[in-house]
Amino acid sequence: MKRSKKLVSQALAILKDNLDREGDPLGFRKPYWTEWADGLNLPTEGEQVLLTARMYQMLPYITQITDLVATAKPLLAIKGLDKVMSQGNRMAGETLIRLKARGLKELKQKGARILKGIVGALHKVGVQPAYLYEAEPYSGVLLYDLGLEDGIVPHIQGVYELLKSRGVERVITVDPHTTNMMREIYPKYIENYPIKVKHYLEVLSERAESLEKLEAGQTPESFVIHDPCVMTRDLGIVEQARRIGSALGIKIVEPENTKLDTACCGGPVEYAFAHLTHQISGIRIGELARLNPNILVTCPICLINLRRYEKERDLRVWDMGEILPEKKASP
Amino acid sequence: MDLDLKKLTKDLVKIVGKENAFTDKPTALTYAKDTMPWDVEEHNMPYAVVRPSNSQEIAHVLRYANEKKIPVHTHGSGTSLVGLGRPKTHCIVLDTGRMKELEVFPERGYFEVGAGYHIAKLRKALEPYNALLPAFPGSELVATIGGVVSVNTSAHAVDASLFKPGDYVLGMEVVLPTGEILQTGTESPRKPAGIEATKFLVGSEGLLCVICKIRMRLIPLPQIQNIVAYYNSTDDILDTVMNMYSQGIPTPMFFEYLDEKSSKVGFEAVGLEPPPGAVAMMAMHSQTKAGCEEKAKIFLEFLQSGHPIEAKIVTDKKEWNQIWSSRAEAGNYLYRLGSTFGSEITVRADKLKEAFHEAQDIILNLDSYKGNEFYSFGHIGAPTIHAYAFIPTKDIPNETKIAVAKEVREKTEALNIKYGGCGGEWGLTAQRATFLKRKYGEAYYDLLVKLKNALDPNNILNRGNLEGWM
Amino acid sequence: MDVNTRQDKIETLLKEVAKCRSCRFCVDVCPTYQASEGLESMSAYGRLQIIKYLLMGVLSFDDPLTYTLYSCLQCRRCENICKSKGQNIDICSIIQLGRSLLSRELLEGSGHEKI
Repeated sequence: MKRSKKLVSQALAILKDNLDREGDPLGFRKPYWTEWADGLNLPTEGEQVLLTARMYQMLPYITQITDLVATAKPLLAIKGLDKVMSQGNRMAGETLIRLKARGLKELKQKGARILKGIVGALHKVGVQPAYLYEAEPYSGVLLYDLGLEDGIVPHIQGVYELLKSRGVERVITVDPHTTNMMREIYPKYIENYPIKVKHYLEVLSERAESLEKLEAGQTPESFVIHDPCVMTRDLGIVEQARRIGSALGIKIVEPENTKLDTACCGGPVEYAFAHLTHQISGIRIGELARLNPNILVTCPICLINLRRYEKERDLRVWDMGEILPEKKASP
Repeated sequence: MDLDLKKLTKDLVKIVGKENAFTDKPTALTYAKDTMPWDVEEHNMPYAVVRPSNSQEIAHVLRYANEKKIPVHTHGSGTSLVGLGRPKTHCIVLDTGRMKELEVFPERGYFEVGAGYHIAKLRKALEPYNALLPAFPGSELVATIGGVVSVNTSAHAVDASLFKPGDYVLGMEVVLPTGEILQTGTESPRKPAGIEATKFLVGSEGLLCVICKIRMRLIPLPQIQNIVAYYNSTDDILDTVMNMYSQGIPTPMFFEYLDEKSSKVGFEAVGLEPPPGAVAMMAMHSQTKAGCEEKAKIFLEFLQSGHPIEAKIVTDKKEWNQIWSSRAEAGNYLYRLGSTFGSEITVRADKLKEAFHEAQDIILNLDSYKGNEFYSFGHIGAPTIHAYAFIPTKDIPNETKIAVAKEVREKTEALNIKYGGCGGEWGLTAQRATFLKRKYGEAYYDLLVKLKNALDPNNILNRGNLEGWM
Repeated sequence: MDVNTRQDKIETLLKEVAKCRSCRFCVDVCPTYQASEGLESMSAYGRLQIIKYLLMGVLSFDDPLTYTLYSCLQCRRCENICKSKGQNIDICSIIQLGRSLLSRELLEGSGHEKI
């Protein structure tokens, strides 16, 4: 509770400054968000694009920053955050923060695998979206959630103009936060917003009969599912993940507090109140772990928050993208 | 009072720990704001909120409070419908929310539960033991067992069938206002006869002790058969209830009604065709399936004397859930779409119809507001009528809210006195302190004050509730 | 809620919060309430009341208030139950609207203590 005002105001200032300067909440100019697609030769133009909005790709960098802040003493944490972020800001034009810990490199690979799984599955069901590579924008969702609506209107307009200029009419999103942003929030600020937004779960579920059952041993036979709050309560996307699971031949177990009643992973406040996030995710992981050591999620925020318990509780958190058939790079 | 807030914070932190003592205003406000619709005022704001985890910490807080002469207001869920929850003066709020242990002892025939356990969660936790929790407040998602036992209310049940939750309490761990910890009652399934403390501490509305832990007997869940009956008018339902008592018919566990207007909004809200008139719903209970089927058959025959349009047993779960939830939906409708001022009219069984019509008359002819509507529903078999003045807008001044609430309350309480009743669901202090005096007289009230002084000489615990302060 | 000016936002907030009938069904389902072991200010209902009394000038925009308002996860569990059993209020949107009033001030680093 102490210094909450300073914490939140600093986070807001840094994130906004990064967004204004580089169009990226982390303030990086170098396009870290395209590496996963190297060698996939996805079309760069099309009226239907895959919009990752950099969410999965950001994960290892966010983890590194918040870990850095968390290890500093409470008093220093404020000053520490200042230092780290302004360092990041200075470096933004030059180079990315080097991912130090091995765990973070693994997380980066995991993110890539997830995205390649999503693309692979889409191709399998006959959907071949384009990908904007370096031009791909960030949706602005984190700042919107923090209440900076008016402040990010220019960013929203910029993103829309970009999509319009690329002839984009339909967007396939890969995470619930971006989906909600593009589908529900953007139309509030853009008149006659024409872009049709679908989450990949919706696309795959509509064509589930074209998905093949997974080979035995590829993944665990059963998973306990954790629905993201935004996915079920904001977007109403509930049964799609189950339908896809069924098509893939995996068994999905429902935990206590599931579907429309799903319990939050705690992620949305980690930027400022990590202690609270840990308490919340601790409650949720208990509800999930009770039923199955393999947990299935469909959101990068849920992924990052629940996987912190993997070692201590002998669990594995899987993103849906990881169990979908991977799109491999061309030889 | 000149209070050194910094020192208070330090002292309270020493007792309950840094994480469990709060002196910031936002937290204080959320503990000051109860269910009553009028605004929190300066004098309602607590100095501090403490969240103890056991009776030792509570004892320590109370001893400290007595020493410093600072009142302590207990907080379960703040959902009392007579305003028990709101602090009436600057105080330390004692939140029972962290006292949530539950231990079930089937071999002893009882369970022990912390006062802060929420009713709905407790009911669910007792399911694996097939045990009944004999309390059904509408606020059960957040109401606490401590609150229910300190007021001794079963809320929606028919007393003649289920009695009061206090009847199931075998013993308690309490802290007296001066800080002594007391273990009351017994660990045997047989309650003590005679002048034993559980009897006068249950229902003492937080005036005589702080309840920490409650020992309640394990009763097997009864079997239920549900009946719905449609009537041309509420009068027919009232006649039915009066006959039920006069003829000694075995009473249901629940016996609810919706008047003509309420049943229309309630049924429409759940997607059912609006009924032709008023509706009654009963849950016939028995320890065995055969028993409740027989009871339902007998009751169905009995119902014919009230000339229902139709009365039938409903076995389809989905259908019953829809019908039953129309009751809550009628209430939701009233609360959503305007300002609602309620009452609890629980009178002598043979005066039910007279009381109902007088209540209707009062509510349609208020002094403090003209043009409101009359709605009623409730646990008619108990018998309790909730008669409401409904104003179809939320945009009325704070003073008007208070004036209407006061008038409805005072005049319907007068009905309780006139027709030999007392209400049966809500407490008797706070906003009902005036009624308490009128119903039982000055001599009884003085006795209560003396009793309060005897156990709480510094008037620490829930000061202002017995006095009837706002 | 299509609100533009600051005054619009404040009026909307007060109107929306006035709809709340204090049934408290939204309290127990809040993950922050569960995580804090039942602290009333860490609940949907608590946050609505805090916004109201901030706008009424009773509370100040200080650290504890910032913590309660910005610790809301926007998970909408409260709305789920409010729509089915309560008052049908867009609780998270109200909290979000409250934040949008405050975030600007946080960003500017000004310390307007009372709104």
